Amino acid sequence: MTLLAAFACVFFTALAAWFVFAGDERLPEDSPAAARLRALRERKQAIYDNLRDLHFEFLAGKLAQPDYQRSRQMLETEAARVVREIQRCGEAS
Amino acid sequence: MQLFGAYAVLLAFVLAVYAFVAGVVGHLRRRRRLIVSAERATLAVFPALTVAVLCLIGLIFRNDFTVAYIAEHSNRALPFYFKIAVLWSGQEGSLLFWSWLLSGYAFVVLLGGRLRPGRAADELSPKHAHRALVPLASVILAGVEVFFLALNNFAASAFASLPVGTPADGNGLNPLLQYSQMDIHPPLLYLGYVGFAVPFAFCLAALLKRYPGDRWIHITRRWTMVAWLFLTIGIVLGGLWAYKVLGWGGYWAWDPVENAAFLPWLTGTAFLHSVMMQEKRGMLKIWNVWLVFATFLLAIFGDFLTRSGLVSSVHAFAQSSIGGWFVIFLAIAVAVCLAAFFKNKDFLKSENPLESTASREAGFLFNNFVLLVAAFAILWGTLFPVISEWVEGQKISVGRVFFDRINVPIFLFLLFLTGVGPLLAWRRTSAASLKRNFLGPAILGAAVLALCLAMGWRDPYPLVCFALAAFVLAIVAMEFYRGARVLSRRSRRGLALSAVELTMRNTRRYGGYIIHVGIVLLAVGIAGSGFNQQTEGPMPYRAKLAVGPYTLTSLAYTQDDNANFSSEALIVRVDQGGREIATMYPSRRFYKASNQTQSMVADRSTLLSDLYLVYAGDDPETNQPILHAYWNPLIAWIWIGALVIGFGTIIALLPSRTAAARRENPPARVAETAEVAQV
Ligand code: HEM
Repeated sequence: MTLLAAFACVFFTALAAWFVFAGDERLPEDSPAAARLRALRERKQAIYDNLRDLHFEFLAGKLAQPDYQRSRQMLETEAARVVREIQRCGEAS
Repeated sequence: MQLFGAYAVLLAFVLAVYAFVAGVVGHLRRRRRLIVSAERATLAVFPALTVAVLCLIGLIFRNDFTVAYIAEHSNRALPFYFKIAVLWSGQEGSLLFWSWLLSGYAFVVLLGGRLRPGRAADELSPKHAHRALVPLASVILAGVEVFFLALNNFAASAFASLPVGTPADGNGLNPLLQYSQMDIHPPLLYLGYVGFAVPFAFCLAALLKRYPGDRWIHITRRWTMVAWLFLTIGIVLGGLWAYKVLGWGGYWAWDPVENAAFLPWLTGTAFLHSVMMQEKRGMLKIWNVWLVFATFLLAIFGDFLTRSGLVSSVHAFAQSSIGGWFVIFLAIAVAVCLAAFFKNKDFLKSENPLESTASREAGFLFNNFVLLVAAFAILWGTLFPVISEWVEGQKISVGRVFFDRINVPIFLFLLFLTGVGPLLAWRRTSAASLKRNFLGPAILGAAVLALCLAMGWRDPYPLVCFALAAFVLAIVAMEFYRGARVLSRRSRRGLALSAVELTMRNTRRYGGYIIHVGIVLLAVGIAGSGFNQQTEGPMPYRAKLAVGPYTLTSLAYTQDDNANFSSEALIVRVDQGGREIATMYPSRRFYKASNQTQSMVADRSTLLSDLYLVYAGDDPETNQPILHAYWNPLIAWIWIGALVIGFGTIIALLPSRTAAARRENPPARVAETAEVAQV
């Protein structure tokens, strides 16, 4: 019984070692420029989502007209800034 | 099997150490092969520990009492469904179980982070962003695993043999644990505690890598929700267990171990709200990072409290020497968090300031503030015996009164905010919008308050709670109704279908609102305790006892016996308004293996109230059976509220149909890329 257990231990140790060292996966390269562009795109998407949310809340009657107009304008300005930055990054890369 | 189990735990430890060391070196020196092998070693810890856990379960079912842990916590007559619970019923087994769950989380994280061939090329995809964080997150998880596996191997081995001999039978499972709730309460609680390691790992990884963008915060939020869900259900099941088992008529005693689970829940809840400020407005980044750190550290601290014997509790394991290990680990973890934070603080700069106190952002800030004040007060009260011993040399415990007095007003204010928050607009809300949104719910709340007063109720806390509950429920109903109405007009479908469609379009928001409904129900259930009644008395044959609207009559006394325990029960008839409505059987069991006696509560639960009977044994002087009777109004709403919270959390975790919404309802005229670009 002990011999069997010892054999199983050796076998599983070898299996674990093989598993750990056999892999040769390529890790994704993450250049700073791509990471920055991705972050900007995420930001743009978040702002667009905010705009859509805002619009929906307005339709649902949660917001008074002036509140809606002001928030919308602020979000649009923010979106414009981010889109310009994306364009700049796109040109640079 | 014993030897093999011990070997598997050792192998897991070696793998985790390798994963951690190779991962750290690989990242510092940018060695791809080392990083890949470290990741694979982290993956392999899970199968190794699964083998170990299976070995321990096998030994438990084989009644192998040469293993000290099994001799201590199991016995031959234990029913098979409780034999599984032996795995986590003692220090050593539960630590192994903890490590296994942690490795399971790491396994899922790593598999989820793999890129399918062909996807790796798209540097801009969110999946790519996720993948980029996984290697470092897995090293951090491996670091946490090293600590727990060190305990499993060197401080509290579940496979250690008894020093001498093999007993014919074991000591048996603690009678307090022989309940069906106990079979699932600890695993769920542990899944919650352990799960907070994952958001911690991603957050720390993002900070160390100075990872740009919000992707990491989405990942962190998602994993926090998962752990939070388990912790919530685990805590409530703990309350249910205390209620059904401990026989004092209550479910929450502000016991140190209960508090220990509540602390990470509070900070986790705070994070789930403040994270929205980062996602929507790029604010509160430092705060969020510290909330994630604090939640993880408090989860470990909770484990430390339960296991070290630092404070005494009915839920705690016996006094043990592993407290020192935890202190060292916590110190290292705090040091790592501080170092990572100070080195990369500039990466967490806020993108926007707070514009108004009448805004969603301010609502979230209040929410966070209140949750943290509650957490601090509970931490202080929990540690007071330790602090007082240090300062005055005398252990002074603060009781329920302290916790209730501080927390009840705090949680009522939180309930108020739960209603107000969702109605505030981002950035700023004008008086006109405030009036439009609050008037109806406020009137309803006031009407409920007036109704309660008219019914002669005077206890202020339940009154305020019921009024606020009506206020919040009205707000949630209004939110669903208004949104569904917009969709229903567009699609010409009924309101109910549109409400479902609405929820699926923004699962996060409407799942969150469902969770709020659950919180309200839970609060109503808790407020019901303001009306509790209790009584006790001798119950010889035909004796009567009155509690709440019920009259109890003792009918008979029975006895039973099986291999695991012998029992005696009172048979009690329950009358209401002169009519018999039920027969109940409060009993007591004597567990043979552990030589312990345990009262078995009889509970008759309805939506309005519980009748809760405890047979407290015989009076030593008169030899007459003593019955404790409790009438607990509304308590069932606590368990219903928890189910609703669970349901809402699952909804909030589902992906929204935003893609569809984007197609149908583009922010078109308001933000078309080209048009916006010209602004
Ligand atoms: C103990 C009390 C509370 C609990 C347990 C709770 C829990 C939650 C949870 C789990 C979510 C879903 C979050 C997500 O999916 O990421 C949520 C959403 C939300 N909570 Fe709470 N909450 C509580 C109190 C509050 C308070 C006091 C506020 C006030 C500021 C608030 C405002 C919100 C809002 C506005 C949402 C929806 C966010 C969205 O639009 O997506 N909650 N809540």
